[in-house]
Amino acid sequence: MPLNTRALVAAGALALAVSASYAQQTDPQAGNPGGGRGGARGSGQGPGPLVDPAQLPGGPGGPGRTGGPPRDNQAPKGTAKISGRVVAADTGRPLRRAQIRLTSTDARANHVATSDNDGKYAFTDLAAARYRLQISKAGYVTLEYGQAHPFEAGKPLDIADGQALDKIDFSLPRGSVIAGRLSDEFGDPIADASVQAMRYQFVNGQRQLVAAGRAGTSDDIGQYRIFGLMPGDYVVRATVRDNSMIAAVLGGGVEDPSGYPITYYPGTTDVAQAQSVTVALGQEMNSVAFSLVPARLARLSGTVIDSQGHTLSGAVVLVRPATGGGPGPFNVGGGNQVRGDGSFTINNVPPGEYTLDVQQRPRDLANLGTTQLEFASIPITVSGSDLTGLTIVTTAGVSVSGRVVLQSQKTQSISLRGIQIAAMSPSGGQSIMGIAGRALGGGRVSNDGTFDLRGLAGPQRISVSNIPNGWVLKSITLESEDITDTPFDFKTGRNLDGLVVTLTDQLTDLSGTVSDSRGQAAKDYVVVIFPDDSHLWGGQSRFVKTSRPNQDGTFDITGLPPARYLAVALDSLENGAQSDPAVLEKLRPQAKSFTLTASQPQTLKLELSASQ
Amino acid sequence: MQSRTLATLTLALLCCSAVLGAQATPQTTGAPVPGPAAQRPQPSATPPRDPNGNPNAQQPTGTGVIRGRVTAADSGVPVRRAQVRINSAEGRVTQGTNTDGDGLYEFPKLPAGRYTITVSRSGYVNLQFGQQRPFEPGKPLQLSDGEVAEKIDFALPRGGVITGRITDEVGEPIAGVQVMAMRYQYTPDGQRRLSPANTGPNFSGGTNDLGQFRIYGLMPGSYVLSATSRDLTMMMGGPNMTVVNSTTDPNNGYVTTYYPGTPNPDEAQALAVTLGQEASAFFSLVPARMSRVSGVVRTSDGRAASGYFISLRTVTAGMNAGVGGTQVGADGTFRLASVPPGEHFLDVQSMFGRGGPMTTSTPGSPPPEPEFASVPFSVSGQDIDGLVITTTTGTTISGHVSFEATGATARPTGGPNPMRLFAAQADPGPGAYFGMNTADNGIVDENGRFQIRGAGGRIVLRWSGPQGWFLKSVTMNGTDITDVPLDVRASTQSTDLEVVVTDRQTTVSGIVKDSRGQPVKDYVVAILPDGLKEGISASRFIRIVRPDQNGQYKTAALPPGAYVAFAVETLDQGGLYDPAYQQEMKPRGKGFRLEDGQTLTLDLQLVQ
Repeated sequence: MPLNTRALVAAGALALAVSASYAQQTDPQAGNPGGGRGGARGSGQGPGPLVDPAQLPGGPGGPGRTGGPPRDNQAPKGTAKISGRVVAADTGRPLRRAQIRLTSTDARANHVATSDNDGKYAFTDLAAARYRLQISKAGYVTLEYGQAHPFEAGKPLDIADGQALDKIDFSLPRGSVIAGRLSDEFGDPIADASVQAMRYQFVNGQRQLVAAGRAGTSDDIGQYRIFGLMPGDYVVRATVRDNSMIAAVLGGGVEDPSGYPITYYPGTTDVAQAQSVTVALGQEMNSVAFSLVPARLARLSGTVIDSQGHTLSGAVVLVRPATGGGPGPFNVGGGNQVRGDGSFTINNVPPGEYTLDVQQRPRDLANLGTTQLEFASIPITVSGSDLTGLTIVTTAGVSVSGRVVLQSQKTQSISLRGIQIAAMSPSGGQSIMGIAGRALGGGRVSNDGTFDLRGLAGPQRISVSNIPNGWVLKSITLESEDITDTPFDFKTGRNLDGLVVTLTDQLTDLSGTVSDSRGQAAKDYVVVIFPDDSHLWGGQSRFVKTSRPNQDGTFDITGLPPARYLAVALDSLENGAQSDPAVLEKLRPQAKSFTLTASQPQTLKLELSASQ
Repeated sequence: MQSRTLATLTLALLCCSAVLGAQATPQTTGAPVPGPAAQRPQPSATPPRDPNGNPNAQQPTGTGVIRGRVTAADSGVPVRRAQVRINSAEGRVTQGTNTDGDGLYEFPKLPAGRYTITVSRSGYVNLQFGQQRPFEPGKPLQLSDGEVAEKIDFALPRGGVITGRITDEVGEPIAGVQVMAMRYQYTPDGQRRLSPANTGPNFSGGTNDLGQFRIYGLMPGSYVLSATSRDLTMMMGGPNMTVVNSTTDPNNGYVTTYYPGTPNPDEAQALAVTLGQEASAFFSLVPARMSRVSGVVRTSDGRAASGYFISLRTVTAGMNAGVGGTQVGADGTFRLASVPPGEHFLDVQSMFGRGGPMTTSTPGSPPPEPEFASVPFSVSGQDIDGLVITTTTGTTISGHVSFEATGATARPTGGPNPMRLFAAQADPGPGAYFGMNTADNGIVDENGRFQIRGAGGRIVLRWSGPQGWFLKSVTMNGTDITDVPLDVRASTQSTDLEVVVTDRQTTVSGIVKDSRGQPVKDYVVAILPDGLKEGISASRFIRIVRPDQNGQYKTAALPPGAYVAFAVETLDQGGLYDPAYQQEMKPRGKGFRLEDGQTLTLDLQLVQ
């Protein structure tokens, strides 16, 4: 576990200063390290429309991008103030036009300020609340207030009415850079490829490669440059853009259809063979050059049959990479309509692991409420040879209706509208139908608390999001079974009702302080709370939480489900590591045990654990 | 064996030294002949991709072949993985392939037709067959049944490059700035506007952490550079985001800045780019205060437009640029936290198409029609709050189509494209209405009836349908409005339009001779309407045609009417839309009249 990354060193409670490794930092004014022929470009984002609204209905991740409907459009006003100054860590000079983003943890307030010529910023008229403060400037690492290590969570700022927190200063280190040149198997430059730095991170309890920072794009001489990175170990991968294959996708020519699958530095298509690139704080690794590996592109073809045994026309077949961290669902070879006879063809699929999704398109959106659209999602491995004669049988899945029930001690009434219910696969992802269904309003709770979910198949976990402030999930039941923390196996052909989601406003309240080995109050730490029962560990567990202290050194967590818990205080913990059961198992011997009930607030005094 | 070798052309590029050339020594033969092409892997070794493999293109096949080689113009070495695309003039065939390790490509089994061929490769300029100058249209390749057009070779020149660095007003680099190369060009409405040099990803660079950018693959020419710093997360930011401006420096962003450092495109300095050369441009962005724009969106019946999406469109130098958008809140409110100074449109569209979001449709009742709106506004640092936008369902246009058939079929049948009428915007450019134009709108039923929902703005009705059928006329209350823009902003319904679709098409073809009476092989024919009545949209009456490899030009489906045609050596893309140029050339052209269904042979003399 890379907990001992000490590239960033905390100096004082607030400011981040820089360790000796910073000496490797190149002068930002020194021009281009790539050899004087101009730099690689930073981002491939064109200036075109970001979202085509017409694409939204079927487009996974569509309307969700701006979050759910707002509950409250007016940020509350108050009398508190936060101010400070931003300087560049390497030069000490003020940083102008850095963005300082202040968000209350209840998400009601969301302010953005820009630093002035002296690097100064100020927020006034703030309501008393718990806030998080994040600072960013392109080319520099993005930091949260209280963040002393890469990839750890920041600390909250608790501010009372009339209070003024000044000197919330930041010393922003330059981001690390990975740059190099991409070539083909003959050594010629490859242009317009997307180059992404990725790192292993715990997501839903699994160590996964996730994208870090913005992707770079190779230019006409093959150069790319990824900047603004945190120090760390990165896997670098290059993806040739779809559009460079458009001609081949059209088909008709005589050719050996070859193309480039996703290639990892130093030139392998097998992620296990990838070599990681380590960058120190502000370091520039500018010789990360590699060649893409050509492979034969395959054609996938077959027939789609619906659950009634009829050929399914009017559906769309999509191919997306099976592993996360990619650019999201993508579609190799354009829109692949299933033909009138149920057959489909997808041209030019590079070798790799994919999920093949079939999604029936609604003929008439007006009748969506009653239509059961068929779908299928199957894993598929492509290794260069054509896959023909695939038969894909779709399912309509099942529909589930339910309601949200409130259990209030304070008899307060709240609007239920906007709460979102979703079915997730046990590993965390949503099915293609789930994503599409959600885009069409599935799982959205209406004013009377009712909701519908459609297209559920196989084991699924029900998740609840957008829960109003001051409320927490108490239980989810279906068929008189408690499925709050376990998947339910939805069997085709059996629509269900009576899914009951219970929310409560009786929240548990846990707070505490931490002292170091000499008995001094510690101000910089992370507390990990996890249940005694290891069955409740894991990626999406409601029972596992981490907390960092506020500016006074106190931590608190509300809304954990009542249970017997373990608590441990550490120097630092990488974000997401708590979802790894192996990490929790290691922490168990050092942890302090306690019981949390809804009726009694719990206060803990913990001692900072010796390094793990 | 028939050999139709074109004279090797010396390429007169005014502004570049390298040879820009889809060069033209095509030899076409009746049967495959031994030659370089025979050495390439036999098709049987790698079976040709089934053109029908692409369900969008159930394309006809035939016995013709097009093949050739792509090399780099500077070194002569083969260019691997260049993309070659062919289109038949009739639009029936669209195919693409990549060159192999020897730079060779081949399209087998082609039906006879007039083909345009385009070759592209990152870092090189895109080239059409027959194109010898930047920004001129390519020439069609006439392919007969059984014909093998070979040595359709291309020498791709390396494109020009603009590199540079973008800084703030004190010389610090700015990362994440979109830098675009644009050039002035006439649009069909006779306006001179900036347009992006190309739409490829390589034409819009984002600066890196050192502020550097690199734009490549440019045609030689004169370019205006724009630099736009966009922070979309800040602009959208969510409906409850507040932007705090510093009291000492309220500028929290940058306005789109043109090289060498002006916010005014008219004051921009153009950069000259030549083939294979690098030009450089260093400039600073002009700081500005970003504006908050907020308000409420209501539907025509007064409901909050929940489930709608609002997007910001920025008009820069006569060019539209979509910037981003956000979902309208459940209560109808929207807020864009950080909008740069300038002219913009707010476009509102339903996120769910027909039917609206489920949460707003009551079971059992017909779903609401999707509505939309498009509202212009401008900001210059001040905040705009309380904007009220009311969406509209737009106008419903309905009518009847009758078919005027001369052939065996009384009405169009088959084909992948459904018969459909659609509302096309009559006025191009930044003011264009942002309406609904979905593929299921305006489909013609068995009785010939059609209905177009959600039309708005100034529109003309256009037809799309099976090959060989053309729009003849659109009449409303007995008046021909085929090319008269219909203003449907005010009215709510236009019914009983009578549309005539015909399978009779006009054809104009001919050859061009020089002043000594010798046939010319390389030219551009421009056809313009003569004496078009005021208020008639000219777009259907304008043609730019290049000759095939035999020196013959041909264009089909011009509406009947009076025209002027002239032939010139070259014509820039958009150049014909310059009103001054039209005025200058019309008297030097040849007038002619085209009757319904007429096949006209019209030989021209090259205008010097």
